[in-house]
Amino acid sequence: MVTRLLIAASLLCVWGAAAAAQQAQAPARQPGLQWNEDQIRKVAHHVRAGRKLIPKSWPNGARVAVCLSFDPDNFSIQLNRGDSNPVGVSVGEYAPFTGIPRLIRLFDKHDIPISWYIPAVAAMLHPDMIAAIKKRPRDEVAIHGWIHENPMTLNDPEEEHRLISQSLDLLEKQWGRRPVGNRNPSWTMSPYTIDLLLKSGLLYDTSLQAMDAPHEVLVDGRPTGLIELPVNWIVDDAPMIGPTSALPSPKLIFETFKDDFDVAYAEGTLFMLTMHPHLSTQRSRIKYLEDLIVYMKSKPGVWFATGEEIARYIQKEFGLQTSTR
Amino acid sequence: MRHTLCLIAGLSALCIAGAAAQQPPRDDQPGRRWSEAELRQASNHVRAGRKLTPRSWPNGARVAVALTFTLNNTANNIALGDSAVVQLTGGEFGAVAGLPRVLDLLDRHNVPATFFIAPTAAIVDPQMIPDILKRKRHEIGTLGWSDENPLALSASEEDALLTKTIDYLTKATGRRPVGGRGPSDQVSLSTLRLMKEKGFLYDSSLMAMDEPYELVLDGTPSGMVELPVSRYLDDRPTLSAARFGPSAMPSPELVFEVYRDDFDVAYEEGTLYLLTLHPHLIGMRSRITYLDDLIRYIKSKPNVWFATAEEIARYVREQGPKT
Repeated sequence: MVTRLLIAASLLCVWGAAAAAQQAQAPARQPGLQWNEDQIRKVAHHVRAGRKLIPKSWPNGARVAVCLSFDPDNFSIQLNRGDSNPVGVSVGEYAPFTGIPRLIRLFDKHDIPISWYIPAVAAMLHPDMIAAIKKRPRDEVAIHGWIHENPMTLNDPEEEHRLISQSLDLLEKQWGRRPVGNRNPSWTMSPYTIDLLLKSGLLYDTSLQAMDAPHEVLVDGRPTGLIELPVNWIVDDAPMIGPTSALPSPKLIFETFKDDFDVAYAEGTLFMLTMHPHLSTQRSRIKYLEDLIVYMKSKPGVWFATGEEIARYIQKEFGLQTSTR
Repeated sequence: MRHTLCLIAGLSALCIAGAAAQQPPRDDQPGRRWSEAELRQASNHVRAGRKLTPRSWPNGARVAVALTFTLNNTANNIALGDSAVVQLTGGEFGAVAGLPRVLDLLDRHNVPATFFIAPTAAIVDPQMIPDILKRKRHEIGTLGWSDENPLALSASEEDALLTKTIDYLTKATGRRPVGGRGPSDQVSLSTLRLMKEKGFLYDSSLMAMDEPYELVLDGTPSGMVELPVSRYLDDRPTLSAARFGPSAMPSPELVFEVYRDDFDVAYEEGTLYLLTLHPHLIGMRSRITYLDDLIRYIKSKPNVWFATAEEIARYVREQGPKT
């Protein structure tokens, strides 16, 4: 265990340095240039995509599984920094006051379930969110960090474990069921995260980006049974349609989402869309979200499901079981 | 994402520095250790209270439309002591080219607007306030003394600047301002309390909803009205010129499509549509005609109430909420 922690800790330092290299300031060290093949593999192979988990068909012969997911981060990110700035708090409160009620009206109208990945502190400070979600029996609540922390910079497996356990406890208390899924905040993981998710008994993760089809997660080459429902920044509203994001035209971005869905449909895999209830619910955005839903519903054989429903179906189809080492 | 990279970069620096100097690394995620009481305390200074959308707007109108203009021009450069000549002319554009164009457009449509003016900008270009007042339809509100960043000031510094600002605008306009917008698009933990103490009716800086609401300060309903802004209805994030701002999507056609789509839902929901524009951006030749088209579009709908922020704030405070 100690050796493993030491390896993980050294990997973390190396990865941290690699990420620092992307910062424009001082020309960063490039330690990877000196690594031998073993060292290169050790870093790159710690967490990898295993076999694809695409069932022969989805339930009731559906061609594609669609998971529409929302991350109500509210103002947890800034609170974790110790920042009380009122303008930032107000931006975060848009979700519980305006975004989520508008979203629920839309999804009720179309009778589609939602997977919610909720930082525990956001749920703590706005308990109305899960109270409203509970009225929708098919919706799923899953974890998204304690306070949208960055586990990479924590570099502390015990602290990370504590935060994961606390998050599961708090969401279980509010929702009435223990979550089985995880989405890491900012899609940032430490080298310890996957092991901790397994230790916490989770069924699936949705943070990795190695393919766009469901797959099994390998840790140091070992199949873990953990199901990955992969995400991608391209099918996420945050990098694109926030007011200062790369292309704040909802029309153009939802066109991208639709094009992405078309290929998922043709390939018969998974369309996992990540959205935020302070972004895609804005008055200028919501109609494009509805257009996308209407478009997907117009195709035969689309299974709208939660991450949990998709993962459970895959688990059964492939006879998977999660295992810690 | 950028934030994440910064954090990661910070960590690796800590890794290296920590190993070298054995100094305790600075914890940049203190919130994860806070208790529930501490989390509540840290986030409770300024919060959104009850919604204040009235059952109906004056004369049975469906929606209230506030055209607001932030007249900062070069005020923030001056606050920062920045005397770079070319940048100052970029702000000057707001006073000598943008504002006259905006005022003419508002005249042609005969609609009122609200101008949030930093006194420093008025000192630099003293013709602006008389030009606005001549129209007899528009409101003037505060924007700090010099569009300064209030997060960098102490409460007493802010207090002194707000007093100076109120005095200046009262003298220049003949009326005490009743509303304001946080300078540099920010409010500090003291800003709104100070505004309330000085009898302000409303603020227009926050974004918790897209309809009017009551501000709750340190857990107590303040009686002050928030007329929320929206960065989606603000020309600065998208329409700046690339070297001077974020300019995420400098296509007026695409941006005004967003403004129109947003209005459609405001109209349907019967709440508030509040645009936040800057004469030095929207007053450019390639942008002003889109504003013209948008106003024409809004006017083509029945039962739209164009009003100043003050008129809207007074109305919602008198009417109370619909529920």
